Amino acid sequence: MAVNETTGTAGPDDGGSDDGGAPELLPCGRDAATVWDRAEAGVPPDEHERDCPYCTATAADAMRLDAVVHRMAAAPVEPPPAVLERAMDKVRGALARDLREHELLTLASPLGPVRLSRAAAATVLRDAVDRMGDVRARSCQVEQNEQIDAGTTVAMTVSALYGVDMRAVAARVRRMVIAAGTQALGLPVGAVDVTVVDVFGEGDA
Amino acid sequence: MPPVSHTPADQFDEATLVVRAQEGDARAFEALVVRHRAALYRLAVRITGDPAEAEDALQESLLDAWRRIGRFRGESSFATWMYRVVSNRCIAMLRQHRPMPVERLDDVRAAPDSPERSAELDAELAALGAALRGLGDELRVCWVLRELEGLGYAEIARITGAGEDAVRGRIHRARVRLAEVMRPWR
Repeated sequence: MAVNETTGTAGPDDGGSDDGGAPELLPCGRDAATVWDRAEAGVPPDEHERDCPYCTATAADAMRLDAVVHRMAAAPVEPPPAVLERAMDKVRGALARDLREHELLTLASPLGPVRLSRAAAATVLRDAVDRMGDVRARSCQVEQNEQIDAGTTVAMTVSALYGVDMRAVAARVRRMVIAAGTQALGLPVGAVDVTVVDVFGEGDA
Repeated sequence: MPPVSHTPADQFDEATLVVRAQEGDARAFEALVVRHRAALYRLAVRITGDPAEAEDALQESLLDAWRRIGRFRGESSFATWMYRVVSNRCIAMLRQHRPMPVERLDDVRAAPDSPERSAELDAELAALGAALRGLGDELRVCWVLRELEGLGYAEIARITGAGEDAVRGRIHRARVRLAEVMRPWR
């Protein structure tokens, strides 16, 4: 993994920066970035700026660059159509490749145990709950019990449509998860813990 | 199962999609990324200055994001977090592929006698692009986020992981250098 998690910026600045966390002050003591921003935004110079050669020079540079920078910012940059598909192919490849033992569930079957990824099982269970319309599944943790026959335990968090009966929602989610587990996955579900963690309105995305 | 009217998962709220992606749901991850695809690609192009390199960087960034989304704590928005992943990946790729940007800065300094000859506006924009590539990576990233993406100093600090004062300093140094290089154009 080449990206560094703890430091947002990687290594020394090869542009010769020597920032030790300090802002850039003009010799007159004003913060250079602020003087530039004000000029760029068309704010008239204050009394100090009118007479100060450093502020005047900074503002002049800002005005000079302003038009071409705006043109660069306005230039459309459209992603190639397939850029995301290619990236997602890699993601799906990584998903299959990175699958670890603890991420697999074992299902009993007459011909021997069948292995199923936890994430895939969770996706099927979430889809079943989403189809209820007034509930959206969020987290879905599927835990295998020691004995395969004892069924799995599902812990699900959901967001429910504002105004619906929460207790009834939880009961319906429970029934839906058990049904989907059994019918769509062949996964006996022994227990379902449902937590309503959020609500959404009719028009909410 | 019978078709029932419900919101397709790709239109769900960000919090729901993030939790799902963190639990290994690739479709939820894709739904999140689709929303920011254009902005992330644009950022990669602006940092790398090269569409092909930007595409590579974006693909690798998405893979980085997929593998690390479990560590996303929601302290910033998903977009800010993704900007951070993309800019880090772009910098890492540029450092791998590019010898040193300084030579290009010299090229740009030789350009001032060209405005009369070519289409001046395009040439000026190209000169700014070349000058930008001549900046150090960290100056360029901060400048791009501020001047092209229009973000505030605090958000740029969150994306780059630098302090806000350092960000202000970097942006100003980038501006001064660009102004120097572009001076012959006015």
